[in-house]
Amino acid sequence: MHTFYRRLYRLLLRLHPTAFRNEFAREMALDFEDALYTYGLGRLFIDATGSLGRQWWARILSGAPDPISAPRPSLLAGNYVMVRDESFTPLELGRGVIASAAQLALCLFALSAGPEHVPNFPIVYAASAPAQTGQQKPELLLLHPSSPLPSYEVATVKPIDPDAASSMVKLPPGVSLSPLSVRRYIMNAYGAVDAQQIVGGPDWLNKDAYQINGKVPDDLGAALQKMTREQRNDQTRLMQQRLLAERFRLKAHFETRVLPVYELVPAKDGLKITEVAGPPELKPGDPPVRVRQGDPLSPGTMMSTANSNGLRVLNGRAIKMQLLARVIGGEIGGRPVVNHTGFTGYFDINDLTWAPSADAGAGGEPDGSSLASALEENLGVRLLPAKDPIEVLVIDGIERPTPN
Amino acid sequence: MKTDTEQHLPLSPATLHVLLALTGGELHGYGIMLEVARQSGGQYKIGPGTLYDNLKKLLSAGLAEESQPEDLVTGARRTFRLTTLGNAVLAAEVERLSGVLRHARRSIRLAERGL
Repeated sequence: MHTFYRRLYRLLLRLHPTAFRNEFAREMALDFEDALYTYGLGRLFIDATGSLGRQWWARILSGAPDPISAPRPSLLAGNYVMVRDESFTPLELGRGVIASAAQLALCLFALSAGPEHVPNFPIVYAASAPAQTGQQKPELLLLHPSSPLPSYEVATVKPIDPDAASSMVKLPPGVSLSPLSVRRYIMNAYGAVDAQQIVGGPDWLNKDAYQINGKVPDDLGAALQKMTREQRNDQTRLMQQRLLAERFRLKAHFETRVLPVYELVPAKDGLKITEVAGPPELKPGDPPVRVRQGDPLSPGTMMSTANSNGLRVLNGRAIKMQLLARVIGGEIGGRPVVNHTGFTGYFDINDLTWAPSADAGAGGEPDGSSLASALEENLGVRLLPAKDPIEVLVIDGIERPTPN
Repeated sequence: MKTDTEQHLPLSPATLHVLLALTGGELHGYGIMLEVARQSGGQYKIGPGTLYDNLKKLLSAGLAEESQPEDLVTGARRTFRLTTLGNAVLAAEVERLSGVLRHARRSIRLAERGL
């Protein structure tokens, strides 16, 4: 469906005066792509229509010939000759108004008739990678900042020995990520479930390790006590976003990119686990969930451990498929797992066991065939390699902080 | 006789926000849109049409300039920055608005006291 709106937007851009179009249309098309999922289609089309009117009005009032149409060589006449465009005559202006009205009427008709009636207009403007985002809404949405961002009262940022971090986060082949790295901190601050959702930035984002601690102001701490767990997590992330902006001078923007993923889909034989009752509703003031090995799991939580044979064991109680996909993604590494099962209920996962692969996430197949087999045989879901639109944060600029 | 800065005043809300967004450094179009939304706490958002209407005026008036042209090979976006004149105009507008605010606050206080 969005392909249709993209074409419609480009058509609106083509209706702008030539000088304005040549100067800004490409950037407007790129900005439209970036803003598609955050600003809303209605707002963007109203904005473009307003711009169309304003630019033609300014053009008519100025009465100046279009600078792009200044005397120029033309190959269209058969011979290499000079043609000169003059200001509009009343007749030309009338023809232009009629032609524009006819095109707008065509747009409105096509909009009401549905996308299948829209002619396949040529794509004129060079599209950046984010423009090729397909027609779906992006998955794995990030936490967008909302102003005013809450702030830590005091925060300390201390560089530490990267080797002190024991386990490395899995990334595509050849890359590892310290759990105390700034990229990891950015992932947490923006709610990214996969390292690929944080794009760009210097190498030290992966290598340097920092101990970052913040003291929550008393009034905000009291307010947090009255919030649900999810609200508290979001507030903490927003404070981390502010810390990144202030201490690391982080500048970044959101985009949607098509990335390799694994889709979690129903297996051919159907689901092999039954729905259970959902966890109790989150209430303000609920204490944070602490999952410890050996303790019974609370509803809505999962735990992945290694048993004495070196096998991975996954347990979950009253969890949704989204959480299962996220945890499996962490186990596999290299590419995220998105939930496409269509199952909306809650499920228990009991001792899902598999042998971890040495080259987990490095190849084109899921983490060893054993995890894929375990999922299919025990749960009735499988992993399907695919490419999906994923929301990413693109780093435009970041600086090493001054330690304190 | 108006000075160079005064002849641009008063600024429209969109122009003011675009100039304000560029005080933080060079930005491309979408970066400006996000910065405007951030600075206004999400209450004021401008779309690409409004943005480039304003950028066109700002570029022609010399209040902003292109700091990096687009590169179709690498896909690099055009970025824009504030000029010295743009900075001066923004400062003059903020000063003008401060005067308006002072006057408005005084008027409201007097109205509340029933004077």
